[in-house]
Amino acid sequence: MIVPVLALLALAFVAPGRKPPDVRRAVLFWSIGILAFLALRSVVPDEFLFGGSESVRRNRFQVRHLLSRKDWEKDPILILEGSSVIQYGVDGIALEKELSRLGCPATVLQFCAVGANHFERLHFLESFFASLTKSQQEKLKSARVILLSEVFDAYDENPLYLLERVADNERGIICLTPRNAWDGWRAWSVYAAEQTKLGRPAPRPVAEILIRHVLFNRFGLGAFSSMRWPDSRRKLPAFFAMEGSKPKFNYEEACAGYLTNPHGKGFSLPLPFPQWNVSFESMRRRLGSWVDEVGFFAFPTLEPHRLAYQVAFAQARPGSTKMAGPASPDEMSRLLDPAFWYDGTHVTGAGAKVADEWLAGEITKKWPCDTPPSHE
Amino acid sequence: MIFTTLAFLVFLLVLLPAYWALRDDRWRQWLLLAGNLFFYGWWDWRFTGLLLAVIVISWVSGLAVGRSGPGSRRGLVWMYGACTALLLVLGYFKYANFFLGSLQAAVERFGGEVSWTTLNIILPAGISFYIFQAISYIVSVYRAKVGSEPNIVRLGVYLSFFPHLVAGPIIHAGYFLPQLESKRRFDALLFFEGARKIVIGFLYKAVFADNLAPLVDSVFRAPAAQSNLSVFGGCLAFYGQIYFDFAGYSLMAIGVSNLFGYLLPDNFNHPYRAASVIDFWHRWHISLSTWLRDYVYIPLGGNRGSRLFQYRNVVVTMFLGGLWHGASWNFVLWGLIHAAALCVNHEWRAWREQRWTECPPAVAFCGRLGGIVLTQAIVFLCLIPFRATSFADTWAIICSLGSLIAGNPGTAVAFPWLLAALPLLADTWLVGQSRWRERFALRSNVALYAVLLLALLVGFLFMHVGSVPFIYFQF
Repeated sequence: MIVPVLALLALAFVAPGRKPPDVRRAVLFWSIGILAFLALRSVVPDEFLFGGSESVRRNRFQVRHLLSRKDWEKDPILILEGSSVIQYGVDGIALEKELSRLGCPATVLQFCAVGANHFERLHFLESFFASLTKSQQEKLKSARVILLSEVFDAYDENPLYLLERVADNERGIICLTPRNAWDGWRAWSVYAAEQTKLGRPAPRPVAEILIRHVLFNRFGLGAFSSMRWPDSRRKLPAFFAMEGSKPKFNYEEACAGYLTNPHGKGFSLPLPFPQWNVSFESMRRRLGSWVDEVGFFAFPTLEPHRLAYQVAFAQARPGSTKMAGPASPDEMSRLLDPAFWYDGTHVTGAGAKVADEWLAGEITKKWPCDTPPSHE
Repeated sequence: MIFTTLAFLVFLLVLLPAYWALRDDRWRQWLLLAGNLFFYGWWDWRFTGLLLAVIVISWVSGLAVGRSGPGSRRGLVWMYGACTALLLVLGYFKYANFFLGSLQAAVERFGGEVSWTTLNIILPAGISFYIFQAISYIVSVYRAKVGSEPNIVRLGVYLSFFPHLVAGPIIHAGYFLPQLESKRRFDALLFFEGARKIVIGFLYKAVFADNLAPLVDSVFRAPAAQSNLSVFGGCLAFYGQIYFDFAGYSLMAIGVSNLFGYLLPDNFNHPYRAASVIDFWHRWHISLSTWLRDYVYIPLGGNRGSRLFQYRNVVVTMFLGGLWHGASWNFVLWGLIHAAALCVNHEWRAWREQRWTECPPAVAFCGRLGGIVLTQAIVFLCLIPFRATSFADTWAIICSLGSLIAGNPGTAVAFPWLLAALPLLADTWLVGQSRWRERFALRSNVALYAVLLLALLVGFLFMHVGSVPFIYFQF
């Protein structure tokens, strides 16, 4: 708080000199000053600049969790990236215990947040890696790291899905680094072209939001708005247990909808989406060598169109990849309980327990624990 | 378009060099008018028609009043006609639903039933400000304080000048029109003074006011659910927020005008240093209080006549001042409490002047200190109905504060007291000391450039992210 007050006092107690000030000289001075600021900004890590933000606190939790495990590099490291479905549906610590119980001990790290699109999650992942020390990074590279990406139609179809909702808030500013914004823009352009090809209304342009946020990001807008010195102890767990159900959600109706089409038939779009391919390629390129294998997972859902997408994606996914889910009707039968669903997509805390057991089983089936790291 | 947005920065960076690149003032005024309409249309282009209509009404009636002769009977008819038309526009957009709703509530309270519903009306941004300026122009022509303006572009620039278009300051025609008539020359001192004011205004608004806004919102959303100490904190935060928000906007408006070579009058003069309610109204929203004085209070008779007559005029003026802020009885209550305080203040002043012609410095100092505390307590309390959404909330907050004074703070909660108090203290007692500024100011061009840049960058780092609209936009 004291810094802006001092800035105010400095402004109040400064006046032009004896000669009148010169606008050209001032513009030159300001340009150099801004360039110097931008140069300084580029070497200051987000961890310091946005120390109190949700994104950094989420990352901090994952770093602490990883480092709290003894000899963590010896067991596989499972990274789950996803949206609110995963934030409310996967309890990483419970999943670790379940994997251990199944004889496949692993460290589970989660990079997920409500409304986080693929590019925000990618920023999470990069920031996580950057916040490790050199030796920890080396250890991570030597471990078997499997990244599981959530399969969810809305985020896969629109690479910048819900961007407008996070726009102008801290999360939107932090994740839109110039590189992320550029990759996001490329994928979004493909999406916009696809929409036109399919005869759908053109999506709202995002260029202005992206440019604005890149500027905000570079100038560290709002970095210290909490008026507190960044506290490195503040962390935020990835998992939140939901309770009750969403207003207006009718479980009986949703369940009946699921039971009429439990195999998810009737999806005829070209998959995977071309725009998703662009996002996926960006992720593979940018994560580099520290991830051994990229796979997918589809979280149980009651919504037929989401299930249909999961089923279609499972058939059309890139050839060399593996995928956990979608849940079969038999597996889903354990989850058909009104107490387990917050709405047709998100589970409650009680539902998460059952879903995590299913997910652990799927993971051990698809990624047996005796496979050595590939370092592709 | 809000001053603290990127869109405005781009707009300014395009308009300003283009403006100074033009040599002829006529072209500059055309450019400004186009810029003003673009600025206003950015919010909702449909209302640029309304703004143009106000300009045309003012121009035609100004010419008619001028031709009829200032002070003439025909001129009076034209003046009343134009002012009525403008007030009807204002009344329709701003007060129609308020009066319909109030009437409906009153009828239903007495067991009656009404068949109408409230209208679906969007309140155009800044309508109160530009309509008041239009009235100021027409009345000034009638009173022969300014000549009627034959050039509609010039009048349009005055009425729609973008820096003060949507939230003031309200400028008197006699102050601004002569500036449009004289040649604008680039003045580096004025330019840098403008830049300094913009950065101070930016800190006020984006750092101090906007960071207080969430605290205020959380307390005023459900005051009954808060501890007494939190309620006090929320009120203190609003006391700071409203000042920094509005004074910040006014400073930015004045600063932007300075960049274009125009002067606007000060709208705030450290009102939280005021030692009496009369003094407060000479320091707070000066352009509105001056407007109300010139166009309501004095025409009503002002202080000519008995004291009771003067107090009636004060009450009517402040009632209208409250209503000007918004179509809500809370604002009316705010205005009436200020009116009562002003009457008591006048009465006290008359009594004191009769009895104490001279008093020792120590007594004067204590009197001044007591005056500041009492005045600020009144202002502080008056802001409760100003911000609360209903009378019930206002009452709940006052009860909470009463309990706090009685020694019951309630459950202790963490509250950023420093954020709520430090900027206010620094601004009121350090920045507000003009003698200190004169004496201790660092006079150096390089220091000026550096401070402007550093303060702006500090503002970026500490500003609240997310859009918080200016409070006075709604008025």
